[in-house]
Amino acid sequence: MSEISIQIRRVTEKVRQYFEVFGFIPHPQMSRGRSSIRGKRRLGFDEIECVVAETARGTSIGFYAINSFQALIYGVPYLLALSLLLLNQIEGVSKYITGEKALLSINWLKLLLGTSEVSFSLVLILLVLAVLPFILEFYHQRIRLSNLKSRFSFFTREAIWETREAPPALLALQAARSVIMHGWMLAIIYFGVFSSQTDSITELTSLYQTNNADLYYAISDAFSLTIGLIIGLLSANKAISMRKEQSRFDKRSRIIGNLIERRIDPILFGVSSASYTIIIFGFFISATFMGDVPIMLGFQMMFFALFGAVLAGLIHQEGMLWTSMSYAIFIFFSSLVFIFRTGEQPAYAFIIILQLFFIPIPFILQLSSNFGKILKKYKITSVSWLFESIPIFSLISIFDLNRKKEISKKRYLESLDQEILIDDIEPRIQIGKEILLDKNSPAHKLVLHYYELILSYTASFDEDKFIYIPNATQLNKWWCDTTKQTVETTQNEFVDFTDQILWDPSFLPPQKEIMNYEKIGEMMVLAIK
Amino acid sequence: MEKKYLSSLILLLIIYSSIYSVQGQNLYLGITHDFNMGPNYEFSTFAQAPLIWNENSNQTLYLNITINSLPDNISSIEVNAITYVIYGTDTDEDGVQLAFSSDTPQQSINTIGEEIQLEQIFIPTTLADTFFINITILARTKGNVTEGENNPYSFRFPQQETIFIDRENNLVPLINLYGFPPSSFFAKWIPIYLSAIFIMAIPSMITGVSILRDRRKLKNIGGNENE
Repeated sequence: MSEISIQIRRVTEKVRQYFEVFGFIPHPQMSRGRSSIRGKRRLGFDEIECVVAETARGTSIGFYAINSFQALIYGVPYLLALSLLLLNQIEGVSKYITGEKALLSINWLKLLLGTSEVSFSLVLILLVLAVLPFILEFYHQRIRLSNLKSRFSFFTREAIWETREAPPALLALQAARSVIMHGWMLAIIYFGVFSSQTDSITELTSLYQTNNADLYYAISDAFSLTIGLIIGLLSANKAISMRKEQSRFDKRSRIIGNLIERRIDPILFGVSSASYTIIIFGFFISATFMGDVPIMLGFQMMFFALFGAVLAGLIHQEGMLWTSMSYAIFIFFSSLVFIFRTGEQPAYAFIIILQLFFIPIPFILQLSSNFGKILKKYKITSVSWLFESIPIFSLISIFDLNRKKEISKKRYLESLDQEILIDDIEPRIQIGKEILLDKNSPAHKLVLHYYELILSYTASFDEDKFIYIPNATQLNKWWCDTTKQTVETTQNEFVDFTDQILWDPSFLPPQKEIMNYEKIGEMMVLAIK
Repeated sequence: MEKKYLSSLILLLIIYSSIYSVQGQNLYLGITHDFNMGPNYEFSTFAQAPLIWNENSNQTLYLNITINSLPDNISSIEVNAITYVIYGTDTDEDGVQLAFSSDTPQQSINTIGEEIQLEQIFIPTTLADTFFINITILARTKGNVTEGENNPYSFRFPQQETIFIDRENNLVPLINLYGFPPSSFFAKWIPIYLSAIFIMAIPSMITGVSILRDRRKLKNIGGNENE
């Protein structure tokens, strides 16, 4: 391990730091002459591989993007719904989905998609919604790659690039993904009353002295108003957060200007991103749930989405609690609008009570913002999980991170079997100490831990600094800053003990003491991995 | 708003309100219908009644019958029976026969130009808000020698429009909440609602489990978080 040159170590450490800042998990693999760092996104499955090699002209870096099709996981619900729709056309299977033997006596297609007929626009919009996240992730990964490359342009073989800017439409559509799913779930709750096979609506319509068609129109009316407001609010909020996150890597996304411009810019950006979202969602809803109502309700939804977006831009800085409160207030507001229509159309009385059940939803969303603190422990700071109904990538990332940590620790422990090459050690060391030569002895491992710590310390500084070998206090302080843990008293003596073993010819401690310090050294090294 | 225009506006308001006020007593003159009972043998009739009926008072319909031409061998026309059938025109009552009344005046007309007027009193029906009346006249000719046939002649009053009943006590409450939905609705809907809430609450549940796990780990190790 000590055969790896300091330059490769230093550049690898720098790339590792940038990967951490950009939100990737670095897995460096170093060998003599070259190292490769695989940066896997903490929240997602895209990878960037960086290869650092020593050439005759110096150190060279190459960045390569490794995209995978795993972003299609976002489209699985839409593909499932599409497959259900197509399965329903087969005679033998349709009776289990929408026919007599339907499971739980629910018409599943009417529950999930609002219609059972296969139409061109329905198939088209489901396919678009399934494939769109993947295309956006792919495009965003290329932009991240070019941003990373530009930081290392003086190292790389090619000239400096003109880095690409993430267009606002990209951020808006990425924000739209989870909000459209949220809107779909709310649509299922709203229109779920029509999905039962048994005759549960007759009692409802007779109680409210209305009929099925009027009830359907009233529900569509309330849905377009309430969901328009909510989607505007959530999509604008998320788009502004994503632009803030992007501005950490790209100064062009930062909001500049005087105080008024800095307050108005998020509002305008929120409105534009909400309009992208509501157009796609409007297509989806008019092809599925609100297919039989006049198109004016779709325009009503778009109109109210702009209101919600303006409010989101105004209150974005206050945090998640204000967003949840405005969500709940929107529900109250739309109930208030319909309370005055109950005289002429009694179905609105039912709508008001239905909408009262939606009040817990914003507070559940607000509780789940604490999920962000758990993710911060794993150093995931991106906001693409916000408002997600099932944060798939976050959950998989958490399980994966623990697993990867174990693997890197195991890899280090296996590498302890290497022999210390005698040529690399200073001849002043008393090589006569047998305990150092036997690679199974604890003293051997102790020295390897020591070297790993010192080399990591050295690599963490910039090139132009002249670095001394650290003494015990400096090393422990660096260790505390890196791992954010406190040092115990025995750790303070680790460096002195190892120094004594290496340089003091007459120091021959008992085996048990060496094993204790070896354990401490192993703990220290594994903590910085 | 300038104060000097206020009086003109109030005057305009009074004039407008008097145009649109519903008095209900203007008689509407129906179209004159000519019925041919034979060659050179014709009588005409028209009806008169207000087009807007007040709900609480009875309304009178006036029916005028006149002879236009009379051949020599016929001496008179006797009106035996008149039936009034009310048909509703609300969407629910379209074409439905709502009320039926009849009259047997047994009056005859002898000379050309003679006119008889018949009245029929109606009680405004509660079954519909708009309707029209089909009036059927059963008239018989009386000649010097024989008695002629009975022929029914019917026409619709008013010809194109409908009669409207003005109901005053039609207070629909502005807010009318009918109560809680029935339990049969909830039995189907609550599972859908709860599964959606459960899906949305997955991050919070993971947060809670993780916090509990950290606390338990701290308790076991005794404050030492090193692995």
